[in-house]
Amino acid sequence: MKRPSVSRWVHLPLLMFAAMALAPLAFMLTTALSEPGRTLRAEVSLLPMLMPRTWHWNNFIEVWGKVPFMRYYLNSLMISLAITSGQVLTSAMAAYAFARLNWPGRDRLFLAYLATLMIPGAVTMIPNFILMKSLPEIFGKCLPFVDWLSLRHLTPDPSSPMVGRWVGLDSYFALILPGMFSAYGTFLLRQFLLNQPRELEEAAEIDGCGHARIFFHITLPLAAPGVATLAIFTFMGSWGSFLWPLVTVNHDELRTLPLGLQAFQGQYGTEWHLLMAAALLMLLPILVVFVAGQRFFLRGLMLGGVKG
Amino acid sequence: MRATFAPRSRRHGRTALIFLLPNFVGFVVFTAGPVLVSLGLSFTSWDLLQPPCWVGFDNFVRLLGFHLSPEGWEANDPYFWKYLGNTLFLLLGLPLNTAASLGLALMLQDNLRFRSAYRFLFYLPSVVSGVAIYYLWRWIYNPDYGLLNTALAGLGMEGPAWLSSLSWSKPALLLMGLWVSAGGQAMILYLAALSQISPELYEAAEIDGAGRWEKFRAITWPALGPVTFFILTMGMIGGLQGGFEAAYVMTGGGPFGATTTLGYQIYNLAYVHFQMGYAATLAWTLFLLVLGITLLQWRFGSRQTIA
Amino acid sequence: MNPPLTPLLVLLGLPWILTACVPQRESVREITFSLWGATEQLKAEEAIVAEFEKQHPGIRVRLMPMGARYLEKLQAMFVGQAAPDVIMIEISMYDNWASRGVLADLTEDLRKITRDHPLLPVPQRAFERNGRFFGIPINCHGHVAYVNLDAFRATGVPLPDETWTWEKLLAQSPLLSRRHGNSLALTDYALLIPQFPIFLTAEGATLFDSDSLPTRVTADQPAVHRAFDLVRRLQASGCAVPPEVQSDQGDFQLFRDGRLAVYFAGRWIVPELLGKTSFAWDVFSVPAGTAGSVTVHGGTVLSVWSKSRHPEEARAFVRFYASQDGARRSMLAGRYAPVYADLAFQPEFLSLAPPRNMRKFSETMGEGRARLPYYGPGMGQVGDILLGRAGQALVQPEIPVSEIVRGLCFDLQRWLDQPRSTYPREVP
Repeated sequence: MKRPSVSRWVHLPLLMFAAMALAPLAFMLTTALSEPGRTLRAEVSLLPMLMPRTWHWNNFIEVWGKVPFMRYYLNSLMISLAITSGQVLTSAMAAYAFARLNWPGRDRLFLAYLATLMIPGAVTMIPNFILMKSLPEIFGKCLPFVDWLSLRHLTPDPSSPMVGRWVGLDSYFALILPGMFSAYGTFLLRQFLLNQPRELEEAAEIDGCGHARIFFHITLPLAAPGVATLAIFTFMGSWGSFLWPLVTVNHDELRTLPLGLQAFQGQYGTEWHLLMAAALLMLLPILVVFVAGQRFFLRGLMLGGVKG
Repeated sequence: MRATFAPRSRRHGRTALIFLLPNFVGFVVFTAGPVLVSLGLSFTSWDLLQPPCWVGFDNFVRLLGFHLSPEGWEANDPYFWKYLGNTLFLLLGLPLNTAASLGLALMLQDNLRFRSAYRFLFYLPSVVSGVAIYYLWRWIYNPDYGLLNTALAGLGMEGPAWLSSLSWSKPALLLMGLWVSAGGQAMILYLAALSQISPELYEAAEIDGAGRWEKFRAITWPALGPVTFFILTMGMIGGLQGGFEAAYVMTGGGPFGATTTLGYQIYNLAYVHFQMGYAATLAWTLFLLVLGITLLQWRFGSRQTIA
Repeated sequence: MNPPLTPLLVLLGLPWILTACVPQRESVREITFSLWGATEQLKAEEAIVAEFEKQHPGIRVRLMPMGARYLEKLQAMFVGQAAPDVIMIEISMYDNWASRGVLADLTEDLRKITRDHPLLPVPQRAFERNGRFFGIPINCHGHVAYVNLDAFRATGVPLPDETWTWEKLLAQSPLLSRRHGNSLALTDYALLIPQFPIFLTAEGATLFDSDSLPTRVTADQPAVHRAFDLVRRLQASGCAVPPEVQSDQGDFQLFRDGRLAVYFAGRWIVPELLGKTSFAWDVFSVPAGTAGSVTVHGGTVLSVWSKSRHPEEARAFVRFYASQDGARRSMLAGRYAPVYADLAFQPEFLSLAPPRNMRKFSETMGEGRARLPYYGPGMGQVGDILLGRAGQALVQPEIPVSEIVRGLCFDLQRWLDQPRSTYPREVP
């Protein structure tokens, strides 16, 4: 079969576009490797800005000391992993209920899930913020023993920002919980399950297996690619999540990486070399996950684009 | 097919409850419930420090209404219309990015050498996009030491102060959006759709003596209809509510509100001025706008895909 | 293949486990103090804190410097019930928060520390509401005119003195501006047009019948017309900095770089100018209008969060910081002018030159020498309305002043008619 012929000249514009895609990133690397004073000296020609001339690796080390970068990193890591595991688990279970089980109102409820995909995040964020803010008061009034559970009694100063803030604004609870439930994840996994053959599961059911065992031992393993796709998407999304942590967090100890980058903006000028180094460090896990999971990623993009 | 999977509804009902419960509870508490709560909020005035106060439709009148002043009819909230204009202007990026994605996808033909390398490089900007990239572009647009103005200076031109200029700040954001999205999800979707067009169609067209442009117009473009429709619809939904992160990191909404979108203004109202009721009003107005435009697109688009 | 449930659950529970594992604290009462400032100024604050801790063993003060978006972050902390105990607040947000009950009533504490050392009139007026204070003033002087002495001397323009008026400045500005007048001048521009309220105060204009409990708009008066007219003429002379230049480069940097002959600001830019200018400079009172040399003022207070868990310690710290002793330390650090009558005119403060004319800062706090158009909740909105109308006057010179004033009255009336938070009327 003859495919439309490809002119060899197409490489020319392609290379140019590839260069344009890479140029800002090269600039980022150059800045991250430059010395503090040198970024502020205007270089007249283009090339020196794209290729590192100084290899000031010290910047990457300085980043860790200047602000509590390790804390931000760990926060981001912990929160992203918690959100990913939570979302994958709950979405998989819900997708199983929608795709494999029969119950009244199933399709109508799914339509409701779909409908919410169109709602702007801002609409739900404000009540969520108010809810998170009010939780300590609600818990304190309704369930005093929960307050006890928050270990406040172990510390003499419950007003100090980190300890004892089990719920409410400025807590890991507020950062993680709202992100663990997603209609999009349910939609994605349901699509996956619907496209998956059921013979093994039907056989297991005839053999008398309960749905829990079918789910954990047959369905999930078979749907591993879809689950991996959702996990990658969710991880990358929560790693870069900015607005929700911005409004929820006020104390430094709970900052995530996107918020932490702000710390390099001083009142009288930004330290660009450190900021770019920090940004690169922040992008590193994303790049690793993308390169390793490229297959799943691209497939997931296409799956999301095909309407059920 | 269903006959072998005997519907024992009641048993499924209880099982389904267990499987569905965690996700459903979260859905109600964090998605469905808040939608209704924010509708209620839009009828109140609340600053979170004092008890909320019911104001009825006042917020909507304040946002969308007009009043008669000595200089004629004036908007109650001129900032709303200004930011709506900003949002719509920035939506120009959508056809731009889509066309660029299509162009790139057309160039990456099946038997091209280094095809996957190109695809990786083009997709890279959208992978790394986020706050880090916004900081990077803010640095690129730095008037004195950034990449862009230095390059222009090398060509003998003096670049403007991109992000603090009234006329250049929005185009600057559009350019950045192009860099981020040109090789992004749209390109991947187009690649997938292109690979599904049967090459026999092209062969037949070539036998009929069709040139490259005619082949594109008659075969490629109609086949890409559904994908284009999907991209534009999702892009519209995202574009109408977006613009917050870029504005926050790069311009602070300025200069003088030139890069403030509706999404950024909602943040301002809710988390800077703590006017929760009014912010909810704006959020719901945005929601209705998105809904309306999406419905319009469905009506217009489905007629197209049938054709 | 069993999904790894246990590790998953551990992952989910990890954050809470970590939250609980924090070392125990010793039983020292610690209060938090939020403030803004650059690194050098923070050192001065730390010195004051060290002195307080020495005098009050058992109380520790933790500084919380917050840089950008200070007011936003504070607002979020109030809402989240996790605000600092002692808070440094600017006058623009003072009313918003005080009238909503998040700031404690500090009237008694103020009386204690000012019994023997009275406050100057302007700080007293600026922060008193219905006889109550919700913060103790630590800084409240008015704007003065920073003057590039070399530029004046080089062009033969007489230096400002008590007879300096806006009309005189207008007449002098072509001589001081290299761009539109005198190619031999040292500075590009004569002045940077300050925010509009300073013209209102110079002409003695009042926007409302009362500047704290307004019921009626009185902006349609000759003084307001004169103020708009004056600012238009300053712009039309061509010797003032155009708006585009203003937004690209910082304000005071133009003065520091020697491109501006006259600049209006408070004492806070002095540390930015010391040793960084290549010319001689000094400060003078702002030019006089019809009502004399009346300027606008800023203001900073120290407040206590009304829901603080250590109110007594917080008040003790505020009393220390804002008292005579503490004020002396802050003024030495360079940002503030003391709000006490007996400090502001003493040689100790006046000898802190440069600038030589330190007295001018103190004079702006005297009776009737500085005011704002309105003192109360919603101050920011009134400021926005004035900014909008002033912008209209400058950008659209074809619109007559009478129409602009009419539009201003309309806007102010709309603002007055809207509900806004008010202070409790009863005074204990």
